[in-house]
Amino acid sequence: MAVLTAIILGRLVLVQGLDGTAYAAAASAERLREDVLPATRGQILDANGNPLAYTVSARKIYADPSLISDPVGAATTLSGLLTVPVNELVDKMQADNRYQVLAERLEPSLAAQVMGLRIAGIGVEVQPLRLYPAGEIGAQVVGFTGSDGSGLAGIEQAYDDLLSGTPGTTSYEVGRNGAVIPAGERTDQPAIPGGSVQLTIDQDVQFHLQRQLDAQCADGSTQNAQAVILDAPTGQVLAIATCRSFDPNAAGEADPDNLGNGAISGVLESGSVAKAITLSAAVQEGIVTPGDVRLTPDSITVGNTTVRDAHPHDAINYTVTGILAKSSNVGTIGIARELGNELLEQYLRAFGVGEQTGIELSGESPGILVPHEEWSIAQSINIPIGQGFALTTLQMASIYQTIANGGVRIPPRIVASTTSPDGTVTDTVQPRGVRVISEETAATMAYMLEAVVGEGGTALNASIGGYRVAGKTGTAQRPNPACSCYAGGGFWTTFAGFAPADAPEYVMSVMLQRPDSGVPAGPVFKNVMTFVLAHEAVAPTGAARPEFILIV
Amino acid sequence: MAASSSARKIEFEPTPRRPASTVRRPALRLLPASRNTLGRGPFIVLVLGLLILGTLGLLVLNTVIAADSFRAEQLVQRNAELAVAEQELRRQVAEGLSPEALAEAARDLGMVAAGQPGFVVVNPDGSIVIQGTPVPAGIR
Repeated sequence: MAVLTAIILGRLVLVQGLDGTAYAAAASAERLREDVLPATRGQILDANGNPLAYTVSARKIYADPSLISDPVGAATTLSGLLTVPVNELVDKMQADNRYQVLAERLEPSLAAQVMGLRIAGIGVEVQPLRLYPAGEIGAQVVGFTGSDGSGLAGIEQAYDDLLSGTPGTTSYEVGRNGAVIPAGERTDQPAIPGGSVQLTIDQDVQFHLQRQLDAQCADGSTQNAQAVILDAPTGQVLAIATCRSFDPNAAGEADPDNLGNGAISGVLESGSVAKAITLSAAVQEGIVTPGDVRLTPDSITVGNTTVRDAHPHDAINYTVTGILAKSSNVGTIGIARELGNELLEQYLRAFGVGEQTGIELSGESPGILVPHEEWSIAQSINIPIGQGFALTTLQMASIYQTIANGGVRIPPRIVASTTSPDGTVTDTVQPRGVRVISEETAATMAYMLEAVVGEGGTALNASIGGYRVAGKTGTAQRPNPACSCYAGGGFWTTFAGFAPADAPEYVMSVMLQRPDSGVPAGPVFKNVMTFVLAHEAVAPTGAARPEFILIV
Repeated sequence: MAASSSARKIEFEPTPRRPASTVRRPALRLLPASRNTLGRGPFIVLVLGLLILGTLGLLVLNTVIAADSFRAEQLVQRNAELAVAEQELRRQVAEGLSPEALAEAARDLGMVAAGQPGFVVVNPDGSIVIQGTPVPAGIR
């Protein structure tokens, strides 16, 4: 009897005293459930607060084939609700594992309907779903997310850390049937939702621009079309687009060629649009004034390279304004030779060529500009007229923003502000402007560029009734990647300008890539800029367009 | 042993501690009998009553807690339903706000894009100047 008591007492001590904590912990672990609380991804908004990307809670319906007794019956019942073909569902329900996703991205109400059928072996899971209500509008800026919810392109990628937030956990005790024990132990570590990003993009302007570029590319021969619109005083991006966008709601099905943002990642040779840089340098350095006269033949030969004007002509006494308005290659090269390669390179770089603007998007190209010491003779006479160096459509807009903003280049930015999860709003610090040319030179350039747009200039097709517009057309040969030569590469036609010319509000650059040079970019500028001026309620200044002396 | 030693101690100290004048009283005496003549009955009733009350109280508390937890669960469920409804409404609003949807809705209503506006500028003397060349809607 005493021995039995001793054994029982000993066991008691062993269970309660020595192993007690371990058993208690095991019991508690048996009861304790821990769930991960996913953090809701933050929003991406346009300049007016319209959502471009936000996250909702969707549902995923899955099957455990080992629990389904009648796959054909279940599949027939579910096929209509899930809009998945019966045979596909049957295949999944007969698969040799225990987890088969039948349908994803479902509305919660639809999932509830499915679960209401109470089919054994069918389960539902919560799934965060990223929605892009504007669809393809601005998609190349906003980007998209992968199946795990992380950002893979655009703002979604660049601001992934801020947007994704921090997941939380909840742990609680459950009884045998899985119901929560009301007074049980419970610890919550709430999820911290992601912060939001507000862009400088206006989705209405972006929409109009996208439509115009898509219309260009729909003509069957235009291979690419890009455009950027900047706010002249701040350098903020109002819209940026490449034709043929994609729907980020179904990024997986999109043509991979359309996913990138060509206006910042692709480069082009701008052609005569770059003459504004050559002339800005020449005016700033005191080499020419708008009224100076240059006797200009229709061709110039340096070494064994000959450059001609677009149309044959006898030697003409062009004013410097006339050289720009008529886009004379020969006249511009003559001025550039007075300027010298070193100064020209210095001004090209000051205008931002060969350097990333630092816009808040990944994949930005700095453009291509070799140092002047390495320029061949052919390059040194082609660079002043926009061939032989490459830049992005964004950089092209930034050059004209500099002139429109009184000579100060403000590197373009596309994020207006970010809001952290605790609600703190951080406005984007605008980069410090770079003084490229004096205010006086900028005014002179705006004056000369206005001569281009309108009677006597090359860009009558870019003029907007009632408004004064300044800008410059361009045509450049596109190198053929197949032969590393220009033959068969096609052309870029370009336009960059701003309005109103005498009180600039908006700057726009346009690029069309085509097999021929027959379609100018000016009309795209005119169409979109007309919309922008009306949309942003910019009144004409009322001042008359000056008279220009182009030829004496 | 201890008792005998203390008895011996008393023998060694014959002098009483109290003065002789005090009335000698026995160290222990009987108290008057308790006036409570009701017996054990009420006490048992009291204890039983407390027990029943306690049990009932526990029962009520348990019921209330259980009912509350059901109600909490219902409210959580209702909350989730409302959140889903709100989410679906927000989604409709966001989709309706998208430029594509607006353009389509406007087209369905027979609306066309505005043409180039003209601006009426009123001078300080009251005279007006029209700036810009207004173009009727639908003509580009």
